[in-house]
Formats: sequence, structure tokens, C-alpha cells
Amino acid sequence: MSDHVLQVEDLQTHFHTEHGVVKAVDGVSFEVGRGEIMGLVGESGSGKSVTNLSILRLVPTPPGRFAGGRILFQGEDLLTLPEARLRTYRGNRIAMIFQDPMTSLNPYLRVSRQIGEVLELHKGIDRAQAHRRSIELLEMVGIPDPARRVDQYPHEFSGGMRQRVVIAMALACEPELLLADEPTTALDVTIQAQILELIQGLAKELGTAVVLVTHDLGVVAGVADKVAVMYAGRIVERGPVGALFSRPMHPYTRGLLASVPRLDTRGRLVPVRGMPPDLTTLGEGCAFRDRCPEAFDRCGQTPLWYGTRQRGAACWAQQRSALTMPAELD
Amino acid sequence: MSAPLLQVRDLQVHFPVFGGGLLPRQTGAVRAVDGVSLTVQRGEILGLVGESGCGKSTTGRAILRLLEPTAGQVVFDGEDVGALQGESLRKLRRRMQIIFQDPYASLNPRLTVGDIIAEPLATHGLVSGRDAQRRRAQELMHQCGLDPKFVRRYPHEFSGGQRQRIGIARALASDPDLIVCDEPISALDVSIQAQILNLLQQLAKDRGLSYLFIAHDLAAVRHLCDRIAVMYLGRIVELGTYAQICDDPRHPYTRALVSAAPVPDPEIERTRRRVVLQGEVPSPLSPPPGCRFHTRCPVRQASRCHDEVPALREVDDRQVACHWAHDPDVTGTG
Repeated sequence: MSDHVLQVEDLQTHFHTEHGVVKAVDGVSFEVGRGEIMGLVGESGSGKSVTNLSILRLVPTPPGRFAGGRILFQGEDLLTLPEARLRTYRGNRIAMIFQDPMTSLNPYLRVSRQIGEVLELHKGIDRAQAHRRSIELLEMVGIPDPARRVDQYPHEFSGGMRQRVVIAMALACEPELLLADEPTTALDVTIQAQILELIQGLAKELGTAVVLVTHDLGVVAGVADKVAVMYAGRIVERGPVGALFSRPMHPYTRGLLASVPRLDTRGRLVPVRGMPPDLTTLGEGCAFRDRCPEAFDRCGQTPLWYGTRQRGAACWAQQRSALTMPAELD
Repeated sequence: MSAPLLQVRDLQVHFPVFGGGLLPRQTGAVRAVDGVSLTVQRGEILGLVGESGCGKSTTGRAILRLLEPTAGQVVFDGEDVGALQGESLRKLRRRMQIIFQDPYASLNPRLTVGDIIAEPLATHGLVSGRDAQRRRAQELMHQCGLDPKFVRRYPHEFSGGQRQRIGIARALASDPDLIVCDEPISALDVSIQAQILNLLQQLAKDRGLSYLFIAHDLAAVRHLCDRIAVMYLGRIVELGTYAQICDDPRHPYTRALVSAAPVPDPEIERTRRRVVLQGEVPSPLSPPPGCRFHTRCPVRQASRCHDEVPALREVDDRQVACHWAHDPDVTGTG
């Protein structure tokens, strides 16, 4: 069938809380091909991180629940895969990088041990080989003096260097899919540029498919091939990176772009008014309608997807402007 | 030109480092701020940018004397801040306020919003009587885009952006001339950042306020500030107008910083030349000799950079601390 490494179909990840059911991910679909980088953009609470965690079934259940959908990895549904089998994929065929490198590093273990463990577990090589390979990996991610650094502990590394160690761990088994959750958010811009360059190189050279979760539109513009914008648990717009930035379709995407200060111009910032909605009280209709400058009566119904699987938006206003006869326009 | 509102001369803040066994003794010092000079005019917004650990927040705090400077002078409206004690320092602090980065940690969770905003009014004896203070607090809430009817609510009932508005209202309560804004938007969501930036801009315009706006996000600084100072390892490496710094940077570090800041436009992102710096910021415990940037500098020269500290000098109407700033053959500018 397709050459997609990852194909997410109508994913529903819900949380059962005392305040009701929170549909953190509510019908998300996308696919990522070999060597492709997909940016998953949204603000806090939009469901972008939960989507990423769901792929490796790292959402605690309960309170979480996979209420529907499929996550096809090389054609195999990860949601129904036996746990023991999935464990052989984690860190091996599918790797993950988090915002804070210390969430992935054990402070008590030398770096050589942490990288080596992955290799011994998944590749069945011995300690001495694993040690040699760890040095190679550190060198590959640009850590100077790797033969000495490999025997140090995480606290002996700076933030940027730790994130490189995590990336080296993620790459140890040459994964087919890399899930990166805000990998550069905690880093300084000059270090961010180095790490992004590294991730881009991987996708290109090893053919790794990458899902890059971020709130930073600038990062996405720089490295992603295509983008999905999430709001309140749903994808509200998607498209190739060029089209999405030059001709955004959804009012939320337009709002985000208009509210980011830019280094190359000094225009007026037009913030998105109001605040993101409370997911426990979200009812029928477009979740963005209370903040939307283009909302009309139709927006009380949940919007249908307008466009194709590659390019489109979930917005009634888009459909209206496309369907309205010119005579009806003011 | 009239006398500047704030004048900082050769400010130094060193933190002692203790080592040794049973009897701890000072073994070194972190030179967090090491000779910073800058001025802020009345009604001016000066941006202070740099990466983590460059000393920008420490500079802001030392100006307000929330930290005692090791050396140097801070003159606010003609008065030497370092020489003031007790009541006279408190009086001056009414005119210098601060907004913090984390709107969750900087508000007392046990006070209502009204009490938080009214506290400076009472402390400085500006408005007397609880009712009058509450009314004033509500006016300030309104000016900062908060609904005054929430005056009796507690900080936890508000979102991050709203809490930052509370912090701004509190800073405005004592009617200051200068506000140090220490990364006021970096903890907020993208769509909320613009709301707060616009609010700060509007307030500065309406009240003739001066800001020292500390941030690592060059794009936000460019948007708001009149002039920008760039810090690296405790020193200012370049200071100029926002356009000079962002469009035509001269110091190699500023150039790297500008080129690394992502722009939300794929066409620009994919075509522009990026200066990717090698390595990491050295420790301020033992900064490199000579130019502090020479260990990472892409245009470092064999002579001078290693052994001579570059002074902040006037180059083309702005100040640059680079031996080669005047030489386009070396820096690749011009």
C-alpha cells in the first residue's frame, strides 16, 4: 500500500477526570513519509503532545483512554499491538525526544551506559561494542571529545549538550520514526539552530520520518516539510509548509501568524482575542468560534473538513467564501 | 538632550564561589555582570538581549538594587541609587518597578487580586483607605485589560496571560517612571504574547514610561524597543537602534543571534544564510581571556582577539565591542 511510515487515522485520546471527559485528541489524522518532517503546531492544551505520546501508547490509562482510531506504523496498528511487542519498537524503530533532556536521562548513569543500554537491549551487541558505538554516536551529534565525554554523567553536560546526548540515544538504533516534542524549546537560539540542523540532517540522510511538535512557527517554517495546526484537540488546518504560511486558510492560523513578532519587519501585532477554551465544557460547534473574527451562525455546528487530505481546513467560513456567488458579496 | 532617566556605569555583579573543606573559603567568583554601561532616556524602551546566563536578568536586578552590585554606579534621575539607604531608597523604588517572567511564582497566592495591586498603594502611602485603594486597583485592572469585577478573586483563578496583566497592574500602581520587564512574555502562549506586548506598548505610550525590556526573543525586542543592547557573558557586545541591531548587526555574536532567530516564513527561512555557532557559552566562572566571544567567533583573528579585551567603541553611530568592527574584510559586513 502506501509508503507512509506513520499513518494516524481519526485518533481519539480522551481523559476521564472528575470534571468530565476531556477529549484531548478528538479525531486527528495525518501521515508522515520516509525522510519527511511534519510540524504539529499548537498552543498549550491543544493536544499536540498527547497526540505524540499516543503514538507510543505512553498516555497513562486510566485516566487516559484510546477511544477510537488507528495508528499505523509501517502498516501495523500500534493501538492494538501487544505491549511486549510495542516495547521492542520503543527506542528502537520509534524514538522520542522530549523538551527537557533530563526526563530522558538517568542522573545516576554514565552517558555510555545510557546509550549502550539501548543498543544491548535492541541490537544484542556486547558492552565493548556498545561503548565504541556510543562514542561514534556522540561524535555524530557533534559532541566534542566524545571518547572522554562518553564516560561522564549527565550533570557534567550543559543543556544543549544533554539534548545532543538524548538525540544520540534516539538515533542509536537508526529509528524509522522520530517523535520530537518541543526538542529545542528549553535551548538558546544559537543552540536551537544547531539541534534543528541535526534533526534535519537525520531525516535527509537516514530517511527518518519526523513528527516535530512545537509552538514555535519560526521553527516549523525552517525545518518542516508539511504542517498540521491543532486547536482544542483537532487539526484545524494542514498543508505543505509553503502554502500554509503564504495562504493560511483557517482564521486561527491567520491569527497565530499575525500575533507573532517578526525579526524582519515591525508591523502591528494583531493578537488572537480571548483565551483557549476549557476542554471539559466543549460542546458542539467550532471550538474557535468565540475567538474567531469570521464566525457566523453556521459555526454552532462542528465544521466539516474543507479541502483534501494534503491541504485544507476545518472551517465553515472557508466553505462559505468558496461557495458564495460573487453577487452575494458586499 | 536632557539628562537620561537611568544611567548605569561600569556595573559589576560578582557572586562569590566557596570551596575547600571544613573551613569554606572563597575560591573564585562568577562574574555574572562584568562592566555594563548603558542609559535609558525618559520614555525610551531599551531592550537587553542575550542567551541564558549572559547576565541580563542580573543586570536588571542590580539596577533596582534587588541585588547589591559589586562595583559600578547606577544613577536614576540624578540620584545615585547605590548611596541611598532606608527611607530614601524606598521612595526611589516607588519610581522603579519590575515585572517578572513567571506569572505563577510572582503573585502571592493567598492575596486577592485587589490586595496584590493595592499593596504598593498602601506601602508607599499613595492612596489611603481600603475602599479608595480597591477602587484604584479596579481602575488599574481595567487599564490592563482585566475585568474589574474580579477584584476579589485569587491568582489561581486566572490564566497565565491574565496573571501577567495582574503583575503589570501591580507594577503600575505606584506610578513608576521606569519598569524593568524581565522576560515578561516568554512563559506565555503565542497568541497571548502579542496581547501582552501590545498592552506594554500602549501603556508606555500613554504614560510616557521607560522600560528596560529583558528578553531572549530578538523578534519581540525588535517589535517593542527603541534601542537594543546585546549581552554576552556579562558584557555588552553591541548597542544600537533596533534597526541597526536587527537589520545590520556588526558584532559577530549579534550577527549569529540574528541569523539564528527563526522567522515564521518558509521562503525566508530556507534561503537565508545562517551563522551556526560552534560550541557552547563558556562558564562565567572562568571567562576566556581577551574577547570573551573569541572561543566561538567565526571571524576570530590570530592577533588581538585572544589577549586584548575589546572596548565598547563607537562604530557607525552605534557601539560595538569587537576589534574588527570597523573592518568589513574581517567581519564580512558592509
